[in-house]
Amino acid sequence: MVFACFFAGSSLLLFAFIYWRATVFETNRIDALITEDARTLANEDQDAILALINTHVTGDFHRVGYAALFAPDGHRIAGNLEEAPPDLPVDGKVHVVRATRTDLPAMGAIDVRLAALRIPNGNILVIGRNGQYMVILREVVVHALTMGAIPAMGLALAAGVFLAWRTQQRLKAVHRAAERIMSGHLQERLPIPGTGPQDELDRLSILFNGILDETERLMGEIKATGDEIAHDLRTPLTRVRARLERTQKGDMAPEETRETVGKAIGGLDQALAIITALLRIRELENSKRRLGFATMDPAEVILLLEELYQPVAEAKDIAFTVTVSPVPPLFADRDLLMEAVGNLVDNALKFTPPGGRVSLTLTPREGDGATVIRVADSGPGIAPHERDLVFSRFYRSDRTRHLEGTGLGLSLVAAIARLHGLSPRIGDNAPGCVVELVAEEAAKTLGPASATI
Amino acid sequence: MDIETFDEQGWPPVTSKAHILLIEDDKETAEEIIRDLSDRGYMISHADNGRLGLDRAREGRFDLLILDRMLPELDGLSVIGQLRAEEVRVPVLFLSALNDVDERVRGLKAGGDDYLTKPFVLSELSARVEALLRRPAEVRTTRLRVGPLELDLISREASRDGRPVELLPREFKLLEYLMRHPAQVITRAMLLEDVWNYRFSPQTNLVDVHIGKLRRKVDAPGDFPMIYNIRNVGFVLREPQ
Repeated sequence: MVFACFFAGSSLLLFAFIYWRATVFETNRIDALITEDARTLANEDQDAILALINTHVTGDFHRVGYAALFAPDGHRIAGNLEEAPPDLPVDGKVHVVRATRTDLPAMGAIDVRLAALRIPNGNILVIGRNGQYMVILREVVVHALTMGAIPAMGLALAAGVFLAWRTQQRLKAVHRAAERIMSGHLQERLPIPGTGPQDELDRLSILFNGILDETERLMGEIKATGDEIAHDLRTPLTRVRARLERTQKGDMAPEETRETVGKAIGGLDQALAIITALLRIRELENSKRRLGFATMDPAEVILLLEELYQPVAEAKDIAFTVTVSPVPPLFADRDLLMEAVGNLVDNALKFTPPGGRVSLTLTPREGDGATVIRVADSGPGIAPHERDLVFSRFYRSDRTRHLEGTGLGLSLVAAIARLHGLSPRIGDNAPGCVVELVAEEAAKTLGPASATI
Repeated sequence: MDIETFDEQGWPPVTSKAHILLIEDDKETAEEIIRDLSDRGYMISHADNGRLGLDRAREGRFDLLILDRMLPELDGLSVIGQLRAEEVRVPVLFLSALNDVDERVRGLKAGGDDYLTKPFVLSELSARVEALLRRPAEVRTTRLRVGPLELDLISREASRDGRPVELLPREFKLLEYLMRHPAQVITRAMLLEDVWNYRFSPQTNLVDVHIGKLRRKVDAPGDFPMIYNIRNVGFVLREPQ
């Protein structure tokens, strides 16, 4: 609506301007003609002038031209002017003065553009035109306005109303869709017209739909995970229930009762551990800022883990090799880094059979010098199709889910690694598996030169 | 020689009769804690919101506060902040459903002495309660002694019945921790946290391996054993009996 009014206003303004410029142009043109005629006539002798005035007057069917010759005392010698206008200077220039035609007295005295010039014999020649052309011009412009501008304005108004209505309809559709989404219909999308060029609303809708796609995907992932977790929790809880039920019957020896209850508690602990690990992963993924972050030497963590796990490896007859090369300091939370790497070592020692090998290495990567923390084992390894998945949120490997423990260790490691800007990688150690945490971001910012201190 | 194992019931806390104030709004959690700690001989008072808890804690007759992190009226951090500002020095054990590392740091910075994440097992809670209650008040001792076992904290030497016991640095630290908490149940999590500064529940029998190694050095064949296993809970070091 506002747009239509604006459009109408501006078309009116445009016509006013055209009218103004046309008037100025036409006036100048006519004034030039009058001056030119006057000069030409003034150069002739009196008889020729009289003849020409006569032709001029009789040939002017529109009764717009003025031509007359006056004696110096103001007496009219010839022409169609009643009298020499007293306020008209005799300077050959065009002036607007009031004058009356002799051949059309009914018109009365009107404003006329006249030029007066003294001819050689002292008489005064007056040439001019009346403002009739202005009336015509105005008619032309008004005509053009009615023929052109008014329909254009109407059209603009109609277009404005239509566009406003259409936008409102689209906004209403978007609003309805948004309301359905808010009420839980996450599969709903904002409407986007299939054809035609995209406008801002379309682009906004596409962006919003993208957000919805991601949200739906995550919700789906969480739902699937929820189902899996429910299943994983049910297993230990079912066992606990069975054991407690057996105990309740009360026909067991005290020692057996104690053992059964102990196992039941173990099952509950496992269920609790799964829940705790899930909560921890969620918390790690949600946190952006850490109080415990500081610049530290990762070697400190690696050596502490060696000391912590060497006896476990010995007890299990596993060759545990720890190699530490100098690497640049890492901005990390010591406790969390220790937990992540400890988790990998713990896992490796758990899955590697007696007589096997486990290695823990801290080294700068060849080429860019990015710090790499690598844990390799000679255990059963991880199937290739699972390697991409083990670090995804809440993924539980087939190799771990049927064993004791939460099976969420690698998800936890991945969450901690991401918090530290470390990229988790997994590969084949033939046999066994190799897991790496690579400080790729740090290598990029520090550059290879400083990374190979 | 396998490590001798006892059940928890055989180890009533020596700090029983201590008076504990529990500030916890969840009714069932509170009930469970009260029942378990009462069974172990403690006297428990209970407040179910922060404001009430703070008022009771100000009475100053409690030996220990068990304080939930999230409370109605006044949250746990504010309660402890107030108490510490008023120079109330009672040890405080934080309970929290938040396992965030930042939360732990915040809780300990505010003046908490220990931090336990829900869900927890009750024996873990009671072991920590006893550790806090028995915490020696700033003993600047240079020698620790438990029965025939002696630890020189300056020369870093250990001996049993005058016979030297060769220990690696971390084994020394582990033994020192046990000797500072004699005849007291110590959980695996406590050892990992306090000896190795390691907050993680290993799937391997990590702590047991270290305790086993230490025990082989401390309890030589023919000696009366001093280190025992407490089923499903942890370990205890005590004078041979």
